[in-house]
Amino acid sequence: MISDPQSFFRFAARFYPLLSDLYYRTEGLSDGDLLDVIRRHVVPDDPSCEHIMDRLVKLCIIETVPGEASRWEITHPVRSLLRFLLREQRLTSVEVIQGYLDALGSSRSELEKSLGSADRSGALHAIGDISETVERLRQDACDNHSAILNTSMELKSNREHLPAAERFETINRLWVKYMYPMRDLIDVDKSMEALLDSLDRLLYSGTLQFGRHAELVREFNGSRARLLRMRRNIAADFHESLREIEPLYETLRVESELARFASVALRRIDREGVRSLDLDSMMALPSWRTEGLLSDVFLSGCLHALSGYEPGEAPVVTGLEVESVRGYSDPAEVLSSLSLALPIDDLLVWLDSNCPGASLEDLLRLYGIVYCSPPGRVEFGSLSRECMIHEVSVSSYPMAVLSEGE
Amino acid sequence: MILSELPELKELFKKLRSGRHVSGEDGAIYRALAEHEEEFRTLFDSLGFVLLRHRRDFFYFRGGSGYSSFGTRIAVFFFILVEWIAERGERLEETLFTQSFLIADLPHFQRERYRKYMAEAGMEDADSLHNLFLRMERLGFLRRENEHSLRFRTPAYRLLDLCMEVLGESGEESS
Repeated sequence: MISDPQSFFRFAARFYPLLSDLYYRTEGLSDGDLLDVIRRHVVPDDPSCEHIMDRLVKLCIIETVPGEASRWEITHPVRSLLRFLLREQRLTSVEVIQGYLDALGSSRSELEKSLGSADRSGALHAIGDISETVERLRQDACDNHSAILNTSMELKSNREHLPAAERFETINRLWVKYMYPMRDLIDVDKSMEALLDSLDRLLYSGTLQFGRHAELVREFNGSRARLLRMRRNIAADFHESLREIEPLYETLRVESELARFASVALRRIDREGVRSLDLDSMMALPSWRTEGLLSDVFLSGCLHALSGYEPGEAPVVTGLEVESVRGYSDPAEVLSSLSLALPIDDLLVWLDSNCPGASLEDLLRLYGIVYCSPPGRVEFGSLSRECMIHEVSVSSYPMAVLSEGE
Repeated sequence: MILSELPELKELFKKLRSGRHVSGEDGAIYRALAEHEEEFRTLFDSLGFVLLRHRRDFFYFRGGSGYSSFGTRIAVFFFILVEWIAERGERLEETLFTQSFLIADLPHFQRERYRKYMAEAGMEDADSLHNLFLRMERLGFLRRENEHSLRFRTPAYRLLDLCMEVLGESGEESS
């Protein structure tokens, strides 16, 4: 316990560089290390290093590291003070802020009880607690805002050259651990708003109930003003933090994803070969080349030759007479001729003899037609017979066509 | 306007069909294309070519069939570059599009792992990398400032897109 705050601030003012140096040393210092640090910050008129070390202990600026009697570290309250002065605020988790809200809820119940029993002293006590909690909440929310801005600036400058993935991890942590829950907390539909609204109403009813006690009314009004300021500050800080880190979050997310995707692609090439990615078709770079085109000179020559072309006499076409005999045989005519010629003992031979010019395919087509619709009774011979039709050897069981009466 | 009389038609068609990505840095041919985009698209479409405009405002033909085999080489070169920049803790987009790259500093043949990927894509030595730069310059992805350094042009955003597409294709490792 510091017996004399003035001594503390006088010492702090005189030895601020030493305090700042100690603040940035996060690991404990041995006696020797501590004296070395002090030695770096003293000037000839200063007291001895041992004396300064003694003052550091007596003013509760340093204390021993728990479990290590000869190692020293800066005390928590002084660290918090320096953190505030150096604008290096740390983030307060939403759980802690929720704790403040729980405390406000409890103080609200206490105040309600005091108002119910017209207990002025109890009400004054409850208002004091409410104001204290409201200020802590406001300060921590404000510190969060500063801490988020600091982190954002550090990530932007990236003096330590951290990989994209690591920077994204940091901002993602801020986002998930502080921004999302905080947004939930200040959402107008959520419990925090309801609690603060009801607290404000209760404080207002207190001003009416104790209207004749000016001092008490001043306390009620003061607490309401603190409450209003806290709510405005929290909302403003949150939205400013959001504006600061949202674009950075998005940038780092994309960069981290790109880096990760490139590594994934390389790993896949390693495992499955470059063809597995089919990168040529994904890039789809056109591979267009002209093939088989004629040169302009060649085309000009052709056109020149064509321009002077005069057709001669048309050649006489000869030798088609025989071919013209071959052609389509009308099935109706064939069936009619066949009816008159019945009986016959081998239809295929008869067709070959009576349909001059018909091809083998045509003869077989007519054979099928007669078989399906014979003009008389059909009988097949028991022995296979072979004959030559258009230089093709045809083997068949002769199909005889007889008159119906036979 | 009669389609065959579109400005810079001959030069544009020649460049686009050879795979060139036409961006603002290409001057007159880019302006002609940007100002008569729809007419050019109609004309090229009737010739069987698909003209695409990237959201970063550059144009290119998407190959229909028979793609250039340089696609794989360019992609592998770029994946290595992206991983390397990210590892160095530099801002990816900012570094890619605002800085010059000294060819001698590039990591592609400096690490065994990267050499392996390059070999897999058919690039075994510095000469093949040099050829790749020539091709990438013709395609409009980069500009060589001199024989020692190069700078990426806006169309290299297509290569960043490719990183995303590859993961989309592979699927299994996306988050």
